[in-house]
Amino acid sequence: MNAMPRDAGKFKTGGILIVFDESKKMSQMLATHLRLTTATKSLIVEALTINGAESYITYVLVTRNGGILTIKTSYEHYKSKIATTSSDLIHLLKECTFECWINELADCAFPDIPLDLLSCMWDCMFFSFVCFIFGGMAGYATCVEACITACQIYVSIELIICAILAFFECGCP
Amino acid sequence: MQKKREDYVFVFLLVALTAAFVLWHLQLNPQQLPYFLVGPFVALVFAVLLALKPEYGRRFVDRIRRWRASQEELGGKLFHYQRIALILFFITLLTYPIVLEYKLVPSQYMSYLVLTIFIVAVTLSFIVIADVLKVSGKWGIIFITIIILIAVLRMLLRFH
Repeated sequence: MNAMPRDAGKFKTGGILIVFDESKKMSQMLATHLRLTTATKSLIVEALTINGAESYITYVLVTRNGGILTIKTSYEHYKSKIATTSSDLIHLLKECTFECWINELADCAFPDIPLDLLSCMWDCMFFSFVCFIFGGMAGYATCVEACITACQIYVSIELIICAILAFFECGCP
Repeated sequence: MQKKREDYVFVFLLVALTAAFVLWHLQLNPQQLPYFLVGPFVALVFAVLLALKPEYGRRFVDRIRRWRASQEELGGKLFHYQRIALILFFITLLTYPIVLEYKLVPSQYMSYLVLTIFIVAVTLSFIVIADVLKVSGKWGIIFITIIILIAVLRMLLRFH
């Protein structure tokens, strides 16, 4: 239990944290802790609480914006994926699978990239006032469109970079 | 005249959508207000600097207008599709924060949503990149290379 704050950082980049917790209090504590320390990271910080008596798992998902989703599911569903049960903390090795790639892509791209697009377009609205001063309404319309086109190209390149990074993150060749 | 009106309507739509989205976003994340104030502040400084040197300002605006005119002239069908692609790209990418905020898609289907957004956004951006390259030639290649470098730099900064 005491190792939790120190080891939680390991899970910033993926993995599943298993906690044997019959009282069910630990999952709440852990979720609160992860929420505070890794709130900037996305959906991949996960904690599982195994309720020994009733053999279901309380699956706590700490999202990038600090929200917590709790899903109850059967332990059997996860059992096959777990490499070792010798420790309370189990880090799963990432495999070159489509699931891994899509999770890594989501982690890298969202919600940062939509936010980048929004702020880029917002900046365009103001930078184009220069064109309004020198070219009137027609100048403003031209500059806004040109600037937003640049935003679109920029954001799509960010998306492609994320897709490539996700590919390598999953250990694909 | 009709064409001009079309241009204004298109830009008004973009500006209105952007402003509405930013207001919605700031309402949910008021802590990000400074992030959205930097751009307008820098733009104000830029406008003041260009107002002090009006010949540079006029040259800057003329160049953009000339580029836009050549895009309209040479772009052909691509230019027409590029505008539609721009609006669709904007809507597709900004669907994600709305879906996330209001939990419109169950968590087990989020990966499909991410994949759909990725495919649609990249396809739409290829239309725009093709149009820029077709019209601007080597300047288009330089422009896109600069954007790629900025994007790579920002990604590196984000992950380190």
